[in-house]
Amino acid sequence: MDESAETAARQALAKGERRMVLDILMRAYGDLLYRHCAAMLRDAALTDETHQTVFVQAWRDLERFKGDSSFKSWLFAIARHRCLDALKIRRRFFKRFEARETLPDGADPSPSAEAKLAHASLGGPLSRCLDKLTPEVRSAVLLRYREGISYTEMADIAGEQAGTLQRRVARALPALRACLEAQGVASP
Amino acid sequence: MKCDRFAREGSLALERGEPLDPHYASCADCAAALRAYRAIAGDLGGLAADAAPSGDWQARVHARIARERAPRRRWWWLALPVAAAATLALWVTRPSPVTLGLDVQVLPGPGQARAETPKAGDRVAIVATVGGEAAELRVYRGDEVLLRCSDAPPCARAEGRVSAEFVLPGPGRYRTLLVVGEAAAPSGGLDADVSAARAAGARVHLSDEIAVW
Repeated sequence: MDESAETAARQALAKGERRMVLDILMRAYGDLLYRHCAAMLRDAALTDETHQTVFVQAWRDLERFKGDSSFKSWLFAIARHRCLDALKIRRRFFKRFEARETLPDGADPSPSAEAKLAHASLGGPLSRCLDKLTPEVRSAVLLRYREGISYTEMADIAGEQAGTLQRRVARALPALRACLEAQGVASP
Repeated sequence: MKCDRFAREGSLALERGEPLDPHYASCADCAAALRAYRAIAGDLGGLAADAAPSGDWQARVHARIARERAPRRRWWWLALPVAAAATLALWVTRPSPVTLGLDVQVLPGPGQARAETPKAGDRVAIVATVGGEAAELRVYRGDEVLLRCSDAPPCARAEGRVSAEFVLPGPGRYRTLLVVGEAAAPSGGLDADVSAARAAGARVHLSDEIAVW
């Protein structure tokens, strides 16, 4: 957590300087949240859009920020929701898209349009295996191991019990290992 | 048979921050699973490490906020003053409303003194205020039409008024009818003519009765 940014943002908020708060937060956490969204979404255009939406929403909700958590946790909570929403919308879109384009009988079902798009924008076997996790599980895994956030903080961000998140992550990593091995990536 | 205890229990113990029991060090499968676990956790830390937002992303955020804050253009805010001006113009330029009126007076005949009651030979002066509208005057004795005119004699029309003079010919009950608008021809009595005129959309004024005995 960027302590100086947190302090400066709180002082600016106390003065009602919302724009200044936003600028401080964008400078301090913009890149971090972008990488988190990129890992969650694996789609450059969707990441750009969602990342900007996170800060637009932050600006909108600043007046309701109570200071119970850090700005960082608050922003990650917004980012988590927006990323899950974006994934949901994309999944619905591609479901509809695929439903309209019925494959002829006997055709080899190729990877879904969603999968093609995702794979084209961000490769890597680990990323592909993460895609196989549900969005909620993927989010927990990334918050824990990409961002290094504690379970106490994750519970605030996700609005779930720390124990639930621990079980989620504990099941996900062996699943990732199995997925990597299935792709021919040897375990260390 | 491969030991899967780490996947079942060990990974959760790790996530809870609990110490691992000695089994995981002595069991080859679990030791391999633990190594893989740590390796994957490490790899996750470097995921999307080179991803970066575009250089102008902060400006884009501000632009989106500015768009949200800008009042929406509501065309009807422009239409309101236009409508108000049009209404005012119509009100100012509207034709003055004409109060229709029918004035009927009994005047003594030439060389005669005014009597207390109308009598044969008295003149009836009729003035109807009609503005620019089409109008017709009629004088009935009972159901009989004795006079019917609009612009031509015995009526005269000037300055929004239609006037006529009529000499009471003899005993009877006389009433003057003013029909403003499209007037149907008299067809069978005062009441029927009044009803017909109203049904045709005309406005009707009926004077008090003048009774001559």
